[in-house]
Amino acid sequence: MGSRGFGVAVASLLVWLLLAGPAMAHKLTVFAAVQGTKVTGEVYFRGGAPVRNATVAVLDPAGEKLGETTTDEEGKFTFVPRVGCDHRLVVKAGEGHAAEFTVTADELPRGLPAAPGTSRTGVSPRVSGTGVLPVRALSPGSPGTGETPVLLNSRKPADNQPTLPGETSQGSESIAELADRLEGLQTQVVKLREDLVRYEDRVRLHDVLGGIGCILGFMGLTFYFLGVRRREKAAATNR
Amino acid sequence: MHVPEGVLSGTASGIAVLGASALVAAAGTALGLRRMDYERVPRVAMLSAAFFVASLVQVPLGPTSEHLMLNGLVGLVLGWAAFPAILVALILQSIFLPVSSGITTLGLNTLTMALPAVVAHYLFRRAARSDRAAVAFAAGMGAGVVATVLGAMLLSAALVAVGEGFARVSQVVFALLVSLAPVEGLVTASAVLFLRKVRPELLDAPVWRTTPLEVSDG
Repeated sequence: MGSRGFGVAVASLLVWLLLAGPAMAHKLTVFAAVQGTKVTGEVYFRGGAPVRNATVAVLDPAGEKLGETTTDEEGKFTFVPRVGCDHRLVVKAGEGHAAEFTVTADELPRGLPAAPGTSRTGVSPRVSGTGVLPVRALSPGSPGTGETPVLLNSRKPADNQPTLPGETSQGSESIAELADRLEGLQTQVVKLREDLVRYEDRVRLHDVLGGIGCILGFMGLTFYFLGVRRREKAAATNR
Repeated sequence: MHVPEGVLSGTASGIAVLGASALVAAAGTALGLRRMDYERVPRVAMLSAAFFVASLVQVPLGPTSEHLMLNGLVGLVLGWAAFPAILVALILQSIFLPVSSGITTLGLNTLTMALPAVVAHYLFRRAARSDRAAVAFAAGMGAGVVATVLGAMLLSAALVAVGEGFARVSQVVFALLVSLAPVEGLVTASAVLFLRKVRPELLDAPVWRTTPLEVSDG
């Protein structure tokens, strides 16, 4: 192949690369995070298009089904975990597409029964208002963030107890404020993790170049071994 | 076009399909490698690179999009060497790109793309060497369409073989891929015309003395 041919090849590859910039394959991605007592998540195709009405199966680490939920019009889903083990979320959306995401046990709210094998696991973790509300009522001011009650119980009461009753109400106000802020922070962290997952999904130029470089390397190797064989053959015929 | 990891490996029949297709793909690759001599190495590498990158070009199809395959072009130029070229490109795709091909489905994916490529080669290579631009164009078109449709058929057959549950799924896959065929055909046809003009030896074709597509200013 002449240098012109090689130039043409490189030029056409570069055109492809330019086209490739925003392109993403339509692979499925599941993302989920714990928000309060709920696990909320999203199912989307590469490129961000939501997957509607997809069934999300929730499995425990042993593969036992804990329940299932369905995505809404925006590809989002929510469920309330009842067991304190790792939750594997498996989505099968037809066309041979499947995706998986694991919510680990230490992300889940504290105080859930640890044993996944108890008889209550038959309960479907489908989102239900009754499942969320009682928990909210237990931790006043905070819409059920898993960790805040622990924080509040351990620190604030100790500070407030020796002071006057009037100040206690003020203290509880600041507790509510704190809980609010914590929730905001948690939302931000979830957003950040989502961004990270999306970032990892993206096709990056250096990956493409790396792949092409590998192919060129394979070509070089093939040339080397074919060349060795050729030389041996030539030597054999010369003898 | 790719069958993602984990869709088929769950059931026994799925594993059987994966295993069988891996064996056939290995045989095809061995045959392709045996036919690849010193002079053909660069073109195999070049087409492999083109196939690798083509998967990033998205063709919007209704609600989703499908990526270009270009296996018709790969087959037309390489013949049996399409097997090693596509295998290498798929391995690298599974490492570098978020195209949903995995290691367990490598054999099946290689087979469903490389076998149609070889078929397209034997059906259309002669026409692609034609002196008439229209014939060469049609050959490229045919290679692109046949390779895509045949690939879709193989893939659907594999999904059907796994079980009834996949029958409806494979119909959807089939419809989606067949609607990709015209696009593949057009891209392959233009690539063939381009190669005929610039690098005819890639298609083992004679140099085009006349330039039939050129429009005169008179």
